Amino acid sequence: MTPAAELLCALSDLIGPSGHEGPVRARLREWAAPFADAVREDALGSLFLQRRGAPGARRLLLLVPMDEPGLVVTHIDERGRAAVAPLGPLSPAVAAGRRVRFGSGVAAAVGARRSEEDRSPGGFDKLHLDLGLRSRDEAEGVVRVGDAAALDVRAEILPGGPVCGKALGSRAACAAALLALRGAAAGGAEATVAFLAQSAVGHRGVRPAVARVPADLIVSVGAVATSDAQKDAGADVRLGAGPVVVVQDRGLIASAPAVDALAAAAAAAGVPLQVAVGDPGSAAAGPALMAAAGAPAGALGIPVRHLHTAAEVCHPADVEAAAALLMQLLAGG
Amino acid sequence: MEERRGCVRIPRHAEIGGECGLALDGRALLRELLTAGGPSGAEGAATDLLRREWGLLADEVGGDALGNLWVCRRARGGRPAPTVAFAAHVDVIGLIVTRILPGGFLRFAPVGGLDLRSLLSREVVLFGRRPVPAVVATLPPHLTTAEGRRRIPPVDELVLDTGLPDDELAGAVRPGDRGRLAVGPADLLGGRLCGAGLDNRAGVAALHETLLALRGHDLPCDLHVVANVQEEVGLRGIGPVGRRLRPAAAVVVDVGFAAQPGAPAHLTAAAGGGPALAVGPALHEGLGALLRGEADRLGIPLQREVVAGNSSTDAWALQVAAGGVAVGLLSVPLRSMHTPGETVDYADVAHTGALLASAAQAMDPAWAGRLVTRLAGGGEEP
Amino acid sequence: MTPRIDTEWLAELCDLPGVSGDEGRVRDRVWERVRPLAQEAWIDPLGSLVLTWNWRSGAGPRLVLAAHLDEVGLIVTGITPEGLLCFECVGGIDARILPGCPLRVGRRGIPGTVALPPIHLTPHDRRDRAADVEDLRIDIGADGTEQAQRVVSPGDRAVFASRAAPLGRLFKAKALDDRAGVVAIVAALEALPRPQLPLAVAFTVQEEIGTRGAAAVAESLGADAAVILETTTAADLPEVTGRRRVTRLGAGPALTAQDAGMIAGRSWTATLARAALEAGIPFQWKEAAAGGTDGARFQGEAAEVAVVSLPCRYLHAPCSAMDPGDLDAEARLLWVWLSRRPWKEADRA
Repeated sequence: MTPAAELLCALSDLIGPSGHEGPVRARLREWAAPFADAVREDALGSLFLQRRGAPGARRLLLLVPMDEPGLVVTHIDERGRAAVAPLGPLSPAVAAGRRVRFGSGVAAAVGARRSEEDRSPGGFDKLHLDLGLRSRDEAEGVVRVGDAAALDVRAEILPGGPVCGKALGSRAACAAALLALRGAAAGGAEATVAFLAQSAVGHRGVRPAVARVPADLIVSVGAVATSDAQKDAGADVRLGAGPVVVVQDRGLIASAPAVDALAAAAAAAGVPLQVAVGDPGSAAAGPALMAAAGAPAGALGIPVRHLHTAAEVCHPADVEAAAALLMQLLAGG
Repeated sequence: MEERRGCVRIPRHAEIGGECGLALDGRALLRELLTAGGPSGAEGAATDLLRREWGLLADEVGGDALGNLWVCRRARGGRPAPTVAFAAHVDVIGLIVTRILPGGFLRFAPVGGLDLRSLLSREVVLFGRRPVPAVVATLPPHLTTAEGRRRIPPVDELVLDTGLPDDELAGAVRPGDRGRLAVGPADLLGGRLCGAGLDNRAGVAALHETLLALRGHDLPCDLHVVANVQEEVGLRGIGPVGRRLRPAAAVVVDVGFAAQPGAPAHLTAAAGGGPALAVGPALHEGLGALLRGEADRLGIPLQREVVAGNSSTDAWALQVAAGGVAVGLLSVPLRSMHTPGETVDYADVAHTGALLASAAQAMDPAWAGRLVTRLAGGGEEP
Repeated sequence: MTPRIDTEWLAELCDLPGVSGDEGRVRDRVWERVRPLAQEAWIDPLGSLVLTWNWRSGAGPRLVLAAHLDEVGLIVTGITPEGLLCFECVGGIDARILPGCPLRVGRRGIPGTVALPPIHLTPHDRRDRAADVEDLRIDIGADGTEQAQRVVSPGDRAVFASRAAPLGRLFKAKALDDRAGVVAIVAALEALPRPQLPLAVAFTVQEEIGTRGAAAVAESLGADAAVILETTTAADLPEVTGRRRVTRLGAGPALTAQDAGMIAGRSWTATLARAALEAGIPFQWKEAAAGGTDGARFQGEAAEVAVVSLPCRYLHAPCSAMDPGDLDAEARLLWVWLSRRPWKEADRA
């Protein structure tokens, strides 16, 4: 296993649904702190790592999501089953019949109330968490209303080399950012790497981050769905062909200077760069631009297949290539 | 009142040229804007032109990373003056290249609400390394059925034909490059104009008329005239402008629906009947009253448009962009919106500009002070 | 002297208005150009321009070359109280290209557009349906009937307002159908010595509404053979494969075996193919039996007919596109073929 693959698997296995990113934040802090000059957290739970740069260097802000979609407990019934609502883009079809895990380590099964005729899982009102307990009292000893769980899937390497896991949408970006932090030479850009909380529920960490960190260039790192899963003739994104510069998605028209900076960094790092036009996702750079429009913003994506399912696929080589590109930016290039 | 402000005249071309060497009157600027580039997200060509023209008519020029542009006419005198903004979105709907195909063909996606019913067989221009003309290709009759010809193809079934060989095309255009419809402008009868992009270059031209009319007149407010970006893709540009400038009051100038067959009469205004003032819950009554008063005084025809909630214009976003902005909306009546056959009556553009020039001179500190009702304490305004 | 396509003259001809029944200005321009070559010439009652050389000399088969002057367009049928114009299509036009289409209206070429009610005010279930021509109106900016009536009358034509210009390596213009055919004939004639054998050239009118001009000319000329210079569909677009392309740009003019109205005279078509092969001129075969031309009318008057077509994308639309190399080849083919008259019987097998 390459270091990138190992890191990707380890990050993917962490449990950190939106608003409950504790375990992920702790591990990121542990891994990244040695490579940062200052570390702080904000009220939402986002983690900020600062690197001092050369005098007069460009101020760079990297926005990296660390949370994942999940299920939040809304009610515990008298039989000890928990009713749930989704956090972020988790569909009932993906959740039904799977095992989930809370940050505390407690596991549960997602069961569906199904009649003979109705094969589909329906909405979340037809799903519940089965903790294997028999009464409300027993259940409340283990979980409370407001606790959140994420899909429990152990990441593995597929025969072709890519990693199959969950939460790759954010964790691939985290892996790339960590590798870049570790590998970038000191004294380059004045950089802040912000691992953001609550991205999956609407990029809620972006506005506070942008308001606190002045920057000359903002780059969000995230996932881009590969074309083979999409219907429209928009993006032409493939696994294993390198990171993606998102020119336009549902909420972002990337600033030309940011697109140029990403292209230049890719060229300097010797990595191929794919282009996504009309990506159906929403990169954090979009809300970042709308929050302040103080700095040009662009989005770097890592190709992921079967995004938002329990078996997402991502290639460690794309993560390494993205990291190499980010290293160029961190080095002030 | 008359003596203090005088009458606002709409300058004619000759006067401008003689007086201070400015090149463009409103109508000429509009024609130039209609052939400049500038679909949402790539408005640079249009804002460059405006920066030049408006820079001659104002005290300061500003902008931000999104591409928003504004100029400022400072108030006369040392007293704190209210900040007022007049804004018109400068982006136009257009298209973005998504894929290069062999044979000189391209696939594209719309930028903003392109009306696909008016796209077939249209000429476009792509802004690649150089401007590249192209045509929206159509299938000939033998490949369509009568039933098929009743259906408008979705955009991912359309292609653009550049006529270029593969290697030349690869060198000239790349995925992500923008384009726009290359139709017009044309002068119709009676002062009317036709061409792709009148939404909202007509609004921008109205603000140009305002700046022209205000030359030589002092202002009681700090007036920012804004050409904001990315309205057509979700009112994205106006928010950051609002947060930066923090106006006490603002008027958005956009285009509205003009009467035409097929459009319900009560939802439209008459082209040539003057700008339409929007009234409704999300629009400031006091500002509306001020505009109506100025229009009556000057004899400018003013129509009325009722908006129950979201006007789908920058006024909606600006109202809450910065601690509560008293916002108004003036619309220039426009036919066939979002098609290359958009038409306006230039008299409506000129009247809008003149009305705003007069209104700006009425937005003094006393008027602005009444926007917030202080009930207790004597501290500073937020 | 090999024939030369004068692209400036082609552009000028394409830009002139000449909707069926209103071909006068195009005809005048063509006459101005061919006048020095004429022996006998006349304009018939329908408006077709006909030139003949040695027609009654009896020295060989009487051959006519034909191309049509008219183009598809719109005709104003009425003026509404708001000053908008009701219209109908003259010739076959896909109505989906009309909304938002820039036009030039009437004798003075007044700018206009086809107005379309905004999509925002259109019910959702109608937003992907094409509008009917009866529901569309032309907007010339008039504020009422009176202002409109001063410049436009019912019966006036409207043409697409596109300007002939290069499109990459191609050439785009309205009315390539069939000004290209006209230009090919004139280029070949100008390169040939004065005809000694019976030859006629017919620049016909009203082809687009049912080959009306050709019907009259065919009957009055009584030719033995006719070669029609037309344009034909090139559907060489992405995702259109094989025979459905019909022809493609850049492969030379197309010869027709059969179209909707006639089965081509095999022997005359064979001589054209032979001339092309021997002179090294590229050509292709039209791979469909669709489309009608003036040929059917001449065949109806007992002439053997061959059709030489210029491949064109987007026919009957504001921006038809063709490869200038194909038009060059077409003119050269015509010139070579005419230079070899009289054709021996053996060559016509």
